Amino acid sequence: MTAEQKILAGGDGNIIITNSDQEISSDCIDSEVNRLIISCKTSKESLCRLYNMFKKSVFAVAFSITGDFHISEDCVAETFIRLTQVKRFSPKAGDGKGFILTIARNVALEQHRRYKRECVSLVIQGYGEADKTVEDSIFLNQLLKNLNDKQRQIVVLKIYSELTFKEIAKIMKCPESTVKSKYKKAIEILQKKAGVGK
Amino acid sequence: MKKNNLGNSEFENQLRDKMDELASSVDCFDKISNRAFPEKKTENSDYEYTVNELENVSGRKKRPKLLAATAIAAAAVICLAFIPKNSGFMNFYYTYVDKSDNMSFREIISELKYETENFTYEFQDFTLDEYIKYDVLITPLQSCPFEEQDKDNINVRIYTKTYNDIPTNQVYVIEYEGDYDDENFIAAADTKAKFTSEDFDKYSSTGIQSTYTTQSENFTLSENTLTDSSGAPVTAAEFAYQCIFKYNDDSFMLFSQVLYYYTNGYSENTEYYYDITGSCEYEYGYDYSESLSDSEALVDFDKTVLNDTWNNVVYYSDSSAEADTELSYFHEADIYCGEDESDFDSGSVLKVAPYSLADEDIFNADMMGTAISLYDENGSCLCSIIPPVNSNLRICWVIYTADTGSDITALSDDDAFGYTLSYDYLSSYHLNIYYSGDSRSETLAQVQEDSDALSQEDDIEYEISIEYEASTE
Repeated sequence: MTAEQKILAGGDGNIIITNSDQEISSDCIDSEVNRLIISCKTSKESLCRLYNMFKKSVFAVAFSITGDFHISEDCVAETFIRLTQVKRFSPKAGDGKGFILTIARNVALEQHRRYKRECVSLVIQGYGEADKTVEDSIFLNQLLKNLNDKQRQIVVLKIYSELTFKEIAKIMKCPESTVKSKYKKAIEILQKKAGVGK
Repeated sequence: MKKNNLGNSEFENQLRDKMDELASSVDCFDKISNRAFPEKKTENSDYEYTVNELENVSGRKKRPKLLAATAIAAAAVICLAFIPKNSGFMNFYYTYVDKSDNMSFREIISELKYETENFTYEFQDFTLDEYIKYDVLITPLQSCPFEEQDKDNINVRIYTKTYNDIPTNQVYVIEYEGDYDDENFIAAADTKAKFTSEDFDKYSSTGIQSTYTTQSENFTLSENTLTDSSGAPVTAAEFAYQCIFKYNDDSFMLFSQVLYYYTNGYSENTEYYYDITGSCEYEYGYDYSESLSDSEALVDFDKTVLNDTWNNVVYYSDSSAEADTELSYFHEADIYCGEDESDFDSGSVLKVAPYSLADEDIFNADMMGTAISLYDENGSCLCSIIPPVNSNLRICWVIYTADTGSDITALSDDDAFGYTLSYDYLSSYHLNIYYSGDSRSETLAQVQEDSDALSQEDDIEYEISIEYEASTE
């Protein structure tokens, strides 16, 4: 049942219905993502839906590693192509979002290793013609360059992809306490550099 | 957004908005769909039909001809021959269809099952990639037996037979994909060393010997920097490993040490040189050396026996799974020399043991890819090196650094834990230990606390000062 149907059908109270609706929609989203992952290898429509849902998160993860807009865009493409080539995805083993972002991270790390010899610095590469894109890229890179590799990835996964520390720990393959401490330190550094007070 | 001590919500929003704006410019779905769903190309234009296609215009189904059926069968045979040996189909085939062709594999599995049911084993899981690269820091006496795989999510489970908590060199390694389950087994390996109950009868006394007498002429101190013979700066670490070792029909207690080092700068892909030295403790009647005069004696360990470790290393099809190229990050070298005097023992080199008082969570933490770094009292990084991947090897792990009298701080690069070692020349040590997490070491609980405890909402950090007298060596 959708939230709207429940309300129309009546219930015990808005709070209960609201909470229940949130749980249902969250489970529905997880199940839907899993279903799309399984079907995307044969269905362009499923692939398109996944792309629209996760394009930005995947890009953010890639950018946190490569620092380059074009390479990150390539990583987005490669991530979804690899998704269509996944041979075994067991929905009960883990969430679909984490699965996709893990692929994104691995793709970005590969690309970064391949290109880092050519990259002189993490600051400026070719970002396309849009001034806004250039401005945003420079801003983010200037901030993120103050963090080490793991701190950058954790910050992006937490703030932008909105994963829990537990989910991030699974992707990064390190303890949850480590993720928390790295995130805390990273935010302190970013705030200090951005001139933001606590 | 709910505020928490781990971030500033307004700042996070700002960061999120900037990333969102940048990500909005990404537009590559056409590229993705073209590669994922390529359009079939034909040699002719879309508006022309070939003769064969015209024959199908009537819409009648064509029965496959005999020639076509034969071709299909031939293709199936060829496909079967080239199906990857570690595919699920082959696993099913050998499990349910033809059980006669993978005798070695099934023998290893059934022997492992018998062993783990009747003796004491400890096991650990690693990724295959980790084991290949860091085998010396996982099983120092056994190199990884398996060749590398192109696929992701390939793991190994290493079973080590133990006696009174002391490991032996009887080891089984199972390679599997995904979760550890019979259906996911890809390959298996077992060592030639096989212990019987009688082998263990003579070990009435047990205990860990933790002597450290590193002797090496390869390293010297040059202006407070460890260097190799060419003058290149060296970062070195060492750990002790005790086990009950069996070779052919001889078994003995082995006290070994593994020293590994690298030169110049540290990175995640740093490659190391390493060496193993050891002493074997013989008891009662083992005439290993003519110089043996007592019933018990320590004799040098002949490490060449380590080249003859593995018995069978097979895929479940019984084809060989043995690695034929060396992909470990660790390369053997002659580092130990057995000389009586060296800089390592002159007191001018400090041995820092970062895990000596670590609590269980930190001790067992996954440190893959994370180094421990030493800093002097000015905050300058002295060196960085990865600790043993196998957490059982960490208790006797030390990093070497020049002893300049400066306070030394050891920190894990992921900031999960660290401590500062400071001492004065009156042989009393002051240890300030801090770590994040809400667990406490039982050791620290026994120590008189004299500290300020900093507590935060999600992380609890303790700063504890303890004093104790250094033990005389």
